[in-house]
Amino acid sequence: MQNGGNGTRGRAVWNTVGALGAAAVALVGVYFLIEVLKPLVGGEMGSVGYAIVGITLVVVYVGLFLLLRWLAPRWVASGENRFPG
Amino acid sequence: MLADFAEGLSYLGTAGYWTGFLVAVFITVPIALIPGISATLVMAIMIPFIVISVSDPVVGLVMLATLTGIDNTLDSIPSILLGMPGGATQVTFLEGNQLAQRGQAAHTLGAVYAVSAIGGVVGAFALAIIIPVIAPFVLAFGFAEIAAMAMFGVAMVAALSGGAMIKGIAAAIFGMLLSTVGPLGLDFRYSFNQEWLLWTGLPLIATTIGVFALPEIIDLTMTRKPLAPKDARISYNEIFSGARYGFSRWPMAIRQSLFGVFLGAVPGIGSGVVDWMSYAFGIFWTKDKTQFGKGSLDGVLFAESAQNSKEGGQAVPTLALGIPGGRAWAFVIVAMLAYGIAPGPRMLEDHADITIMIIVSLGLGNLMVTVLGFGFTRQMARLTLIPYPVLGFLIIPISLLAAFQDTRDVSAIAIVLGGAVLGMLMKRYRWPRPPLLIGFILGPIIETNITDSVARYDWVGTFTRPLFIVLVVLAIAMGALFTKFMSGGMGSSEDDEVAPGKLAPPAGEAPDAPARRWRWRWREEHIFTLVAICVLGYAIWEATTFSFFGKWFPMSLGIIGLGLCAVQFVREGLGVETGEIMDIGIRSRGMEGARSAGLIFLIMLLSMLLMTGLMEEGLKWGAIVIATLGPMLMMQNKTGVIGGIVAGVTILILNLLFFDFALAVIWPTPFILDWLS
Repeated sequence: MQNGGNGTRGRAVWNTVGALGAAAVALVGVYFLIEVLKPLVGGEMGSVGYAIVGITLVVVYVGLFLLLRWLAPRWVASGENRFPG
Repeated sequence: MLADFAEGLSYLGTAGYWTGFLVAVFITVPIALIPGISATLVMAIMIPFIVISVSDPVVGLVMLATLTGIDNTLDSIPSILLGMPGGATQVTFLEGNQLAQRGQAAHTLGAVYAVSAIGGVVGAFALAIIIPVIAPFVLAFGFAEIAAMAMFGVAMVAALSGGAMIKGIAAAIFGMLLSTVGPLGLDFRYSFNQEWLLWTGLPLIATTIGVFALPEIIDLTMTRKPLAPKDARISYNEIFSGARYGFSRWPMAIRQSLFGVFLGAVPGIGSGVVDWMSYAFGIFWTKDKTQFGKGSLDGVLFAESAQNSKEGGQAVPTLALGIPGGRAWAFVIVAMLAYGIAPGPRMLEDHADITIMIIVSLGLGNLMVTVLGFGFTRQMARLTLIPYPVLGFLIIPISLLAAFQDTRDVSAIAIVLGGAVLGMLMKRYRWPRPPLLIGFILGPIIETNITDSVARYDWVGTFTRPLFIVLVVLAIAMGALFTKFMSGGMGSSEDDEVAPGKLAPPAGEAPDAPARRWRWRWREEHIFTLVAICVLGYAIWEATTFSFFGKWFPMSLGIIGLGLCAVQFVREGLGVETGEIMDIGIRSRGMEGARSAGLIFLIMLLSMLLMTGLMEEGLKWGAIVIATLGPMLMMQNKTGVIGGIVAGVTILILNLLFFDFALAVIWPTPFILDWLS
C-alpha cells in the first residue's frame, strides 16, 4: 500500500492483499485465542482459569502497548505518518 | 463522638481495609482509562460483587467511595491524551487536548495529578468539617433555590462565551430548549410522535458525545497526524516539572476546591457542570483572560481541582441527608441500604466509623492515584505520538456503544450522529459549544424545580423566598460582572492570522478597517443563523399547543433566543467581526487531503452503521472492521497497516472479552431489519 509513486499497480495490489491478509490472520488468531480462553473462566479450573485468562490478557495488552510504544517514535521520526498527498 | 472517630480510624490498621482499598484502586485504574467508561458504569457493575462478596460494610462502602473519588483523576487521562472527553471532563479536554497537541501532555498530566491530590484532600477535609453542621443549610435549599443555583450556572455562560457574547447566550438558550424535548406532565413536547423521544427526551450522554466528543474525534482523525508534534516532551522530568507547577499553584487549587465542594454539596447540580462552573470561576479571578480556550494549563487545573473536591461536597447531602449528591453517590446509597445502613441525619451518631472511613478513603484514594500516575504517565503519554486515525477508529465505536448503553435504544446512535453534525456546524461557523452543553444540563434543573416550587408555593411564594432572591441577584450580578470583564479581556482578536476554523474576512475587506461603511452582504454563515431562527420560531409556535406549565419555559427561551439570533443575523450581514470564542475550530480545514480523509471517514462510518443495522450484534463486528481498515485506508502506508492491525486486535479483545463476556453488554438490535419487518 505504498503511495509514494514508486510502485507499479501490481505491487500496490500485492501490498494491499498482504496488508489485508496479515490483518485477517491476526484477527482470526486472536479470535480463536479468546474462544479457547473463555471456557477457562467459571469452569472446573476455578480460580486457576481466571488467573490464566487474566495473565494472557495482560500479556497480550502489554505486548500491543509495547509494540505501539516502540513503533510510535519511529513513525514520527520517519515522517511516514504524514499523509503523502 | 471522638471515640467513634478513633474507632473509625482504627480500620486503617486492618488488613481488610487495605485489601478493599487497593482492590478498588487497581480495578478502577485500568477500566477507567478506557474512554467512554465512567465511574457510574464501573460502580453499577461492581455493586453486586461488592455487596455479595464483602461482608464488612465498612470495607464494602470504602471500596465504592474510593472508586468514585479516583475516577475523576483517571477520566482526565483519555481527555488529554486521546481527545475523548468524558461526561465531566469537557474543560480538561478543551484546554488539555490542545496542550497535548503542543507536545505538553506529560507536563499537563503531572500538574493535573498534583491539583487532583490537593482537590481530593481538600474535599475530604471539607466533608469532615462541615458534615456535622451542614444539615440545616442543605435543607434550606428548596426547589426554588436549586433552580436559582442553576441560573447561577447559566450566568457563567458569560465567561465561557469569550468575545462572542450573543452567540454564547443564544447557544445556551438553544441548549436549554433542546433539554425541553420530551415529556413534562401531560405534554409531550417536540416529540414528533417518535416513541424514543416521547418518554425520556434527549439523553445527556448521547447528546454530549455527539455535540462535543465526536466532532473532535472526526476532526483529529481527518488530520491523519499524531496528536503531539515531533518534538513532544515526554519524560519523567516533564511530569515532575508539571507536578511542581501544580503544587506551586496550591492557593488557586484550594480556592477552586472549596468552590467545588460548595457546588457538590448542592443537590441537583450534576457533575457535568461542576467543571464548567469552576472553570468560569477561575477565569473570573485571572487577570489575563486571553489565554483561555487556546490550551491553558491553568484552565485545566481550575476544573480538575474542583472536579476532585466536589466528591467530598457530594458526600455531604448523601451521608447527612440521604439525598444522593451525584449519580455515583446514588450507588453508594444503594449499597448502604443493601448493608442495612440508612443514610441520613443519624448517620454520624449511628455509623460514625463508616462516615470517617469514607472521608479518609476519598483523600487516600486521590493520593494513591497521584503516586500511580507519576509511574505510568510517561508510557501513557506516548499514545499522543500514535497517528490519530489508529486511535480515532478505535474510539468511535466505543463512543457509540457508551451512548447506546445509557438508554439501550438504537435512537442513541442517531442522537450521537445528529449531535455530531450540529457540533461540526457550530465548529465551522464559530458558535461556542460549551454554553450549549451547560444550557442542556441546567435547563431541566431550572424548569422542573421552578415548576415544582410554583406548584407548592405559587408564583409569588416562589419568587419571594429570601434565599432565592439572594441567589438570583447574585447570579445577575455575576453575569453582569463576567460580561464586563470578559468583553475587556477577550474582545475581538487583533491577530491577522486566521485561526483554523475561523472564517476569513471577505475578500477586499480589512478585518480592522477603522472607518467601516455598513453595507449588507449575504454570507455563508447566514445559513446557519437562519436555520437557528427557523428552529426557534417553530419552537415558539409548537409551544402554543402545550399546557401553561409545559410552555412557559420553552416559549420564554424561544422568544429570547429568537431576538438574539435576529441580532446576530443582522451583525453577520453587516460584517461585524465576532471575537475569539472559547471552542476549538476545525483543525483539519485546509489541510492537504482533508476532503479525501472526510470521504474515507464517511464510508467507514456508513459501513459500520450498515453492519449495525443489518446484523445481529453488528456494532461488535463493524467496530473491528473499521478499526482495522480505517487506519489502513486513511494513512495508505506501512504505519496505517500496522496501526490498523493493532487497533483491530485491541477492539476485538475489548468487544469479545470485556464488553461481551465480562460485562455482558446488550448490543444494538439490527434496526434496519427491524424497520423493514
